[in-house]
Amino acid sequence: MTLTARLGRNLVRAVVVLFGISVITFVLSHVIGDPVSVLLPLDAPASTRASYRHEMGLDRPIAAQYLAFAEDTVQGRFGDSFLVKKPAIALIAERIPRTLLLTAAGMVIAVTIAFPLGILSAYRRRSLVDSTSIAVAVAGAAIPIYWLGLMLQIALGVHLHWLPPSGYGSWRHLVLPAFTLGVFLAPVTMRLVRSGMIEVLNQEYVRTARAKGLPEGRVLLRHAFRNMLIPVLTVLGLQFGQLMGGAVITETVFAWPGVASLVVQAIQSSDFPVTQAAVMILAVIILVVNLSVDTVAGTLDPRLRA
Amino acid sequence: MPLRPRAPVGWRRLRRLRGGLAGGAVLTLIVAAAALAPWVAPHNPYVGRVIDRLLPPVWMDGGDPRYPLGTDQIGRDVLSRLLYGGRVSLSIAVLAVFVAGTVGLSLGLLAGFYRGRLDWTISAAVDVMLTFPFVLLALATIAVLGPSVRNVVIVLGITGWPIYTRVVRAEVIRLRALEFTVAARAIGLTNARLLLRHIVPNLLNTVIVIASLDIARFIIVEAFLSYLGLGVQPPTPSWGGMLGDFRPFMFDRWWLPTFPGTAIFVTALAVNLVGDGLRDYLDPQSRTSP
Amino acid sequence: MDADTLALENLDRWWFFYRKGLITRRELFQAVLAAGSAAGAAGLVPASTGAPRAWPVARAAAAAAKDTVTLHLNSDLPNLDPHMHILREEIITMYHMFNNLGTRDLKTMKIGPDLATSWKIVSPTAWEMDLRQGVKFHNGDVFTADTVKFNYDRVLNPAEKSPQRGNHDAIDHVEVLGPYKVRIVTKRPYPIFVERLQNFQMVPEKYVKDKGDAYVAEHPVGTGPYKFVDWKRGSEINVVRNDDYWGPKPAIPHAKFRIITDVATAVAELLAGNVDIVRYVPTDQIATINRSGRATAKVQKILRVEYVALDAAGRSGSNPFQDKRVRQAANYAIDADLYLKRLQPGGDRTPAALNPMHFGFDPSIPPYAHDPDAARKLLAEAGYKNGFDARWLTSNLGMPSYQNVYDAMAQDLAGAGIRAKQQFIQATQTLVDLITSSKAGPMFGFSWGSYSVFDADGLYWDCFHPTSNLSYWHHPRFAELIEAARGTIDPDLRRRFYASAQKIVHEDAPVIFLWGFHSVFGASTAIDWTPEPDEIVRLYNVRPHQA
Repeated sequence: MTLTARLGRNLVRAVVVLFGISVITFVLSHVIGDPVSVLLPLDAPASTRASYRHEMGLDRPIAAQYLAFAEDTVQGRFGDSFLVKKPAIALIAERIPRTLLLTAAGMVIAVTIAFPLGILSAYRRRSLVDSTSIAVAVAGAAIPIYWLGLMLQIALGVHLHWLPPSGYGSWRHLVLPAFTLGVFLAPVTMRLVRSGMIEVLNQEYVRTARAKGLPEGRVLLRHAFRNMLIPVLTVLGLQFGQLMGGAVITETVFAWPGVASLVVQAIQSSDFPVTQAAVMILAVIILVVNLSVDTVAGTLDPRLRA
Repeated sequence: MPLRPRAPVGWRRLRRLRGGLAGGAVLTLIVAAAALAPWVAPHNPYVGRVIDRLLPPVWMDGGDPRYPLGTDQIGRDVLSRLLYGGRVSLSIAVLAVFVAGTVGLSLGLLAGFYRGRLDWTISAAVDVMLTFPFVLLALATIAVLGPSVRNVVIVLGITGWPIYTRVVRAEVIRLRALEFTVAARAIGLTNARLLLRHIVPNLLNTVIVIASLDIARFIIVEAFLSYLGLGVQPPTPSWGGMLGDFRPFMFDRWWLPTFPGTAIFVTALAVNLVGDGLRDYLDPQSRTSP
Repeated sequence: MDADTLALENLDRWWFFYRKGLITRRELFQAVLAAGSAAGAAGLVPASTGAPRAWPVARAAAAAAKDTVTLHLNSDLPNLDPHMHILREEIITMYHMFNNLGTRDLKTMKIGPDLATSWKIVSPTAWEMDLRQGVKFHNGDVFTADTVKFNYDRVLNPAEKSPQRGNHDAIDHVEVLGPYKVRIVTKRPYPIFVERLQNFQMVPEKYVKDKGDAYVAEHPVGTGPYKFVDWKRGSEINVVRNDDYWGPKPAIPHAKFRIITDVATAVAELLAGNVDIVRYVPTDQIATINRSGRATAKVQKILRVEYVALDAAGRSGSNPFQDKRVRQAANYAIDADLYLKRLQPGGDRTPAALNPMHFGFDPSIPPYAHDPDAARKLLAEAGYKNGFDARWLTSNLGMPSYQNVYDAMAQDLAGAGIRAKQQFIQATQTLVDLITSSKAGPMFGFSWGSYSVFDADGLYWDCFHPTSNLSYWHHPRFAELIEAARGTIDPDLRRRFYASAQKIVHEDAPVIFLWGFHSVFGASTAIDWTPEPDEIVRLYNVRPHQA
């Protein structure tokens, strides 16, 4: 299949996925709660509630509400946040860069931990190094973010005063949350790198290179590593969607004002426009990332084409 | 007899699996302790004496031999809650994996075997599920159904099946193209028979490996849900719930969160080792990602 | 004129209108409550550490080191427009940048002058108010009578959609009588008008008209002791001292409101010295904070009480709690004193649901003792020898460390035979909806702040009168007594009525009696501050700690 054809097909698929997500998001956010209860004081009379509901358009039949939502979404109009009276998009746009910064920093740390460990343990399979790395990986996966985060806050923030325990503003504020997120991401990355390396190291061309008498370092770097990268990066790109879970807790624990904590707040206060906008925008980002990674990887390595 | 392109079992291979065997031993111990909790636990995990609250473990100053690992914030015995909590956390994880695995396997089979529009629909659904933020789905599901053990299993099942489908589908497509399928058709096997007796057994290895790793993952996800208040409700103990409850005690009663945390870690490690061992045993040239 | 004088003068006038037949007894009674109830409480509302700070606070000699005082908020504010929210966190923040017409004198708990210097009721439906002169907004605009009219018009205007409109619903319109004098006309006699003065901030007319609501919601301009600097949404709000403030200037030049949703993180920041005041500290962290040497935990009694309502009237259908013995058994089953001692930062037992700070509280009524044997005996007498199951709706009703208490209670109740199964409801509004629609039985948790009315009527009428949709108990004699207490302003007579009413409530036990809360704050040792009895933290009263 040509590149254009593949791109086209993937695009169609992406649109379908977005449609599915929009339906689910819409239904779920309406089912979760009632924004009128959140916005008005507890003793507001029924007439005030009814008029608020009418003003928000919440008394229309649900199919009509969805159609209006779909129409608006396609044009990028998500409406104003129920809570804040500012366009939902503006609120999200303000916070997405912060989350992206955090996740990028987390990825960097994860890669810094995972790659050396993964490569080393692939190279020295079944040795002590290998077993330790696996244990470390499991530890990283088993320690919940909120726990590790608090431990770091107490140790480095309260007792040692090296870093601020929470907040946003300087590079110092980024260190602890990025490290915590990185530890969250590292285990899976490490396992991927390890198995990718193992597979590659067993390939013919590596054995050929060795047979040719090339120095071990060269074998590793030039042949094994480069070929391992593509599948690993592919899956890493796909992991991006999973990052949200980690980001949610990290942002909450470290009071990092990003989009993940905004979504949770929006859900808890039944702020439909923000919830829907955030999910749709994030979905688009994830799909774009997946799409690019898929296409690039498929171009570079025909074996990976779907 | 199903056709399986596998290397024969040898003593050498078993020796290389010592990680898996060690993990298996530990896991057996943990599962046994949890299963036998009603007989092994020294106290009722649901009842505590407020007078005895927040006692430290027996080896520390102020500890009480009646409560070997100390007591929690309303005087319940931590050891008993740890054992019963293990039952809850492990059964949630296993059940959820079972649900996710069964659903995922079936859908993956259908998609990979019959292809065409069915495949297209199922794959689109997989994409949707994988792109949708887990947190939102979990929050919404629990908000609708209410928090309970059963609903946590449902949430984990709903979010866990796509991985199985994706992997199984890829395997089925590959197997379909293999020679033995062609051969089987040539001798006139029906679709159903082909599926059941030949393809599925080849898949089970893969699924089992993923499932074993998922068990560890689900224990941790349950902890996450409990932190958000969406998991198992009090007074039912669960490792994740205990970890969340004890988090504020990190400041000066650090032993409290350490106990469930260690339980989670050791169990996850053991399950991972077993999963790795299984994979090495069943499928040394593993094509599936770990 | 001070708060006491204002209150007494206006009370005289209400009495005059009543004698002339211009207002009903009920309206007179409400006026009495509004003016006098706080008087009963004033003596009973000390902070637990040191004497309460009276307002205004004299300016302290500068203590150089402390430049910024930081308060923790547990959620972000939707906007910075004082008319467009219903959050306590926002009330607190707005108090720093804006003033109100009246404000609570923390020593006497009565409403005293702020932007208005005096007020008097001139007819049952009209108040006249003198305004403070020489007050400027942070941008130079002048505060005048027109400002007051503009503010009331704004909040009452349906097009503005202010969620606070209902609070001021009784006001019909405002007339400007002079540059510093207004007449406020109400639709009906409105005695709690004075109470409402302390929570209605004044915004500048020209600024709002010129810039529009959207801009104003992010760039607040008021007359208060601090001026707005910036708002990093989701993160923090910064303000700086207003050096042209008409009143006493704050001791600390900068103030910061940091948004931290996770309470463990907030405590960590307190201990790290980055936050000075943390609200709603969990009970188990009190010892940790006190041991740290960098902060202390401060406890403040508040008016809010909690109880577990039992469906005595059978509104949700027939259930065991319709039998008085079963209700009494529930009260004997729990060990409230133990919970207070071990699971709470203190609390004041409420043997008949009234807080000791309510006027009319009878201290001679002993609370139910912990007596599981009596409980079991009563249950057996009522025919429940083997106990019974009951659904118990719970929610976060403001009690510190509530889950610990609920779990302990569930244990103790089960021990006596009442197997209460907790069902936690996330959104309090949902619980309230269930209660008012008679679906909350047989057991549900409930708490009541009495709208800051320190009088037995503030709780008894809304929670226990048979006509209230919050009451799952119908007792005609009790109803008679509290109606009689409403019908007179003679305090001794009222006390007698309420004493009898309390005996009935105690004996008939329509609820499981719990307690009045103590609210816990964490405060850094770098500052001198006492928690405010009205729960509005005032950073402008904070002084750096002199070693």
